Amino acid sequence: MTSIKQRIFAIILTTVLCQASLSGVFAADFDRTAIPRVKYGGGGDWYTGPTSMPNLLKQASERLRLPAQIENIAVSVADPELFRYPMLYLTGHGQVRFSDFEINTLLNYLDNGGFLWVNDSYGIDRFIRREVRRLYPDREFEMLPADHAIFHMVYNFPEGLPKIHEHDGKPPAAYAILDKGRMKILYTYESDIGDGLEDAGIHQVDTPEIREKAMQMALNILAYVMMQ
Amino acid sequence: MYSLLRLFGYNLNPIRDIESSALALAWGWAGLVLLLIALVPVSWWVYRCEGKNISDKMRRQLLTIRVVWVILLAFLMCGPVLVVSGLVPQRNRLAVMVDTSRSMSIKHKEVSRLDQVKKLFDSGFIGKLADKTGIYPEVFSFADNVSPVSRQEVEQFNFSPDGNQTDISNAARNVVGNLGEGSLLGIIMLSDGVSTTGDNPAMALANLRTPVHFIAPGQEGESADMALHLTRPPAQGYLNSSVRVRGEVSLHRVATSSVTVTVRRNGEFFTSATADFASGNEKAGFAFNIPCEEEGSFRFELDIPTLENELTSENNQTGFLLKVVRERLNIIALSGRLSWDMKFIGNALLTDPNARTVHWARLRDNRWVCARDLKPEKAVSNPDLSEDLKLADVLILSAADYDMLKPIETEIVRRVEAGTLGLLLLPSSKGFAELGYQGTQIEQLLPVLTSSEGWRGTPGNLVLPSSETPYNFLRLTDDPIQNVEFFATLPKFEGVYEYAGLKPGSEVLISSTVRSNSNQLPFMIRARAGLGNVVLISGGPLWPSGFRLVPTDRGFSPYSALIVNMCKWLANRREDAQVSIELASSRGYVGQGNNVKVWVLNSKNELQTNAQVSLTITDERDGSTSLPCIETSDKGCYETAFVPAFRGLHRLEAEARYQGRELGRAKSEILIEMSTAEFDEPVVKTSLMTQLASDTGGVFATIDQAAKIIAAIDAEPGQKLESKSVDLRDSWLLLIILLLLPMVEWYLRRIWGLS
Repeated sequence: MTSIKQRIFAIILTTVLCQASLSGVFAADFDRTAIPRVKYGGGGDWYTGPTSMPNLLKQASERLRLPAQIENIAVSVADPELFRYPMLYLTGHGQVRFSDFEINTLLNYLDNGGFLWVNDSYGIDRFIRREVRRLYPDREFEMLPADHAIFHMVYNFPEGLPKIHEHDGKPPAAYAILDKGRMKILYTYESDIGDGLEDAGIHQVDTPEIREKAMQMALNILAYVMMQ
Repeated sequence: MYSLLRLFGYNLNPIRDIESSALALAWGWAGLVLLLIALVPVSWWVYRCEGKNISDKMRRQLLTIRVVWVILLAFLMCGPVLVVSGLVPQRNRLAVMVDTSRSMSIKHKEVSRLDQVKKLFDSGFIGKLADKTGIYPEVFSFADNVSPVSRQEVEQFNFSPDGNQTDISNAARNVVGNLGEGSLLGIIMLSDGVSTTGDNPAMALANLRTPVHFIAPGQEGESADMALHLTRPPAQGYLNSSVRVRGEVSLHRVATSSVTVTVRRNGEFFTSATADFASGNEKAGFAFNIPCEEEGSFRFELDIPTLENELTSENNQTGFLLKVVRERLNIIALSGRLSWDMKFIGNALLTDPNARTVHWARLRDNRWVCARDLKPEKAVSNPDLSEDLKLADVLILSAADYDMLKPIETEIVRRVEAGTLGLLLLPSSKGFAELGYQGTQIEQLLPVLTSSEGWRGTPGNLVLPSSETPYNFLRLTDDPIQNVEFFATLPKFEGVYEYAGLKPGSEVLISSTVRSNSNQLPFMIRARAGLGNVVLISGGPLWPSGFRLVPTDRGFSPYSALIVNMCKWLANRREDAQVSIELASSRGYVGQGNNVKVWVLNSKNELQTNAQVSLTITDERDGSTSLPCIETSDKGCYETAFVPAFRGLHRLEAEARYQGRELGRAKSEILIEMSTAEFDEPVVKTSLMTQLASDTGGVFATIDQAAKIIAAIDAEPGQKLESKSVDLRDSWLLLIILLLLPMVEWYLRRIWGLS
């Protein structure tokens, strides 16, 4: 019993501390791109991998000449500040749930030029598919073939989406919601590029080669989003 | 029956002999029955109190009188009307119709067809017809329309062959309708039988009960002729493509295996094409290509050789107007790095279906990524930008280092100064000095002096000039005051560049409150470079601010309209932005109506209703006409029609105003030709006219045999079946009967001593 209480306390403490570290939404500087992570409801750990986006933006600044705001930013879908950002990052391990208002706002954001990258850290698949169906009831995720431009924008991935982190031994797959050719949502499944973007040492199994591969793929995604 | 009705005093004129009649009641027969059901009990109640016994004979007599009176009363109350039909004698009439279409000017042995008619008239043809029938014929001229011709004009032979088309069916129907078919002894049509428009005469005239006689000036197959036709000539071509022109040459009594078609563009030889005739064929097609290498309107004239003694040479030439335009609004954007601004500008531009974008962004190590219409492509090294630049109407530069522009710098400057490329400069984290523009040709295009420049990173608002802006792309709402407020309430941007000053001739379109409300800094500056336009936006980021408008009630469209309209203005396509002229064809004909539609959009690219639209047409003689355009049922569409009097190029200029403010202007051109339809088949249609005459009980004769027609005219008067409605209540006799019946009953009762 004590052990359970301690675990609950630890989870609450971790959550409070993480949220405290992300307090406030920073305004994007002129000409500097920021990629906020999406704070969602449902209980899933939206805050997981806090170093992944800063690392990606730092590399984008160096390798792609993208003026970037290298910070870990979080934004709620209901927040009007959502519209300050060209791209959103959503990740986690569990339940994802948007309110009806959030669904409408997100739809407005995506239909007017916004982009959402969903990274499956494990266990998110069922929930994200349900929420995307709520967003676009008349559309299905389309699997991106290996010759899609997103795998060849800056770095070449002839086999398509790379495998970064092993989950259930399934092959990695990139799914997208497309509208007249424009990609609105990218869902990277069974790859966990987000893990590969984190600081060295957080995931011991990720070798420098694996982490470089994850970074290259993420830069491809970023370049694709900024050009479409 | 006629006598009986006359006895009751009904007026049946002009019917003399009743062929049929029908009785009708205004209330219907059911009304009569209902009335009887109502009146009989009333009558019974009135008469029921008879106190004395009377004989059966007396009872029957009284009853008969009562019943007859009640039925008669009920019948008259129901509004009885008798419709009688009968033949009415008609006054004799005879119509003579003279074809005055242009085909009547075709000459046979140096005498035109109409001159042959004149000779016939001069020989007393009309007088002989009058002698035969005892009436002077009603004479008409016909071509496009039918016009009565007075006796004096007939005597002076006041006819001229100037009709652009012939409609025999309509002409005959019109005359029959005017004169009345019953009174017509016949129609004598002096024509070559060439009917170029309207219904098929064989179908239309077959229903007439009036004999139509034809007198043909000239003989079929008398002379040789060659004719040139174009099959739907192109009106518009797109730059860097080619259009194909197809046509046909037809021969009549000409033996040749090929005919050369000479094509001239704007009066100068362009190309030639050959129509090759297969053995036994009288028609052969030809075709040629026109490469559209430069923009503008081009007048093409085609002709074939003229034969000696050819029936007519009017059908040996034709022409059309070709307008070469850029198919799309092509925008090329060059960024020195991945750019958020460009992403949103691209999205805004693609709200216009005619906009095409190419966005090149440089990454590190001279690797570039490209997105065409926002579809990203894989990175390439050192791409050749000149091909994309060649097609571009507008160039957008965003943090583009000078070394990127160096290979295409001269071409950029040349095209901007020639007015074929608009230039839009966006702000970036680097100033122009850092980008390396100082001392370059590109710097010459800038609207600002770059000897000093500094970033002032203070959030500020946008301020439009207080006077109404003359630039349509800055009018995002129709009301000027609301428009100023709209810009002022846009989300604040982060800052502006402050330069050493503006170059002479530069104009501040939008200011900013970055420094202070009273001391504003330029935010959007325009300058003219040669014939071209340059716009510099010195602050930002504006575009994500525009994107933030999405969740508000304003939506994204004003922002998109600003971008699209500004790019059209930069591309020197001002007319595309607000007003456009739609012509059914770029070719019209003298004397024929041309419908012109003018489409009007407001500053938000929405179709504008209740606008005041006028169209000014200027011909080659500099004569101009101004016409108001009427709003149509299509939203934003206004229409007018004009009938050109002269051939040649006509310039059209439409102006649209809304609440006194000019929305925009548009220009177009139309080439007016003399219609050659009358000469497409110049031979006399003997067989057609023979058939038409036969179908209607008439006679066909050549002009030399006109006496045959006079002999064939039947001088017997005609009759016409007419109907007349007679109100049966309109009779004194009936009224007397109606009054007499109760009086008779009263009298009988008195003498029989009844109550």
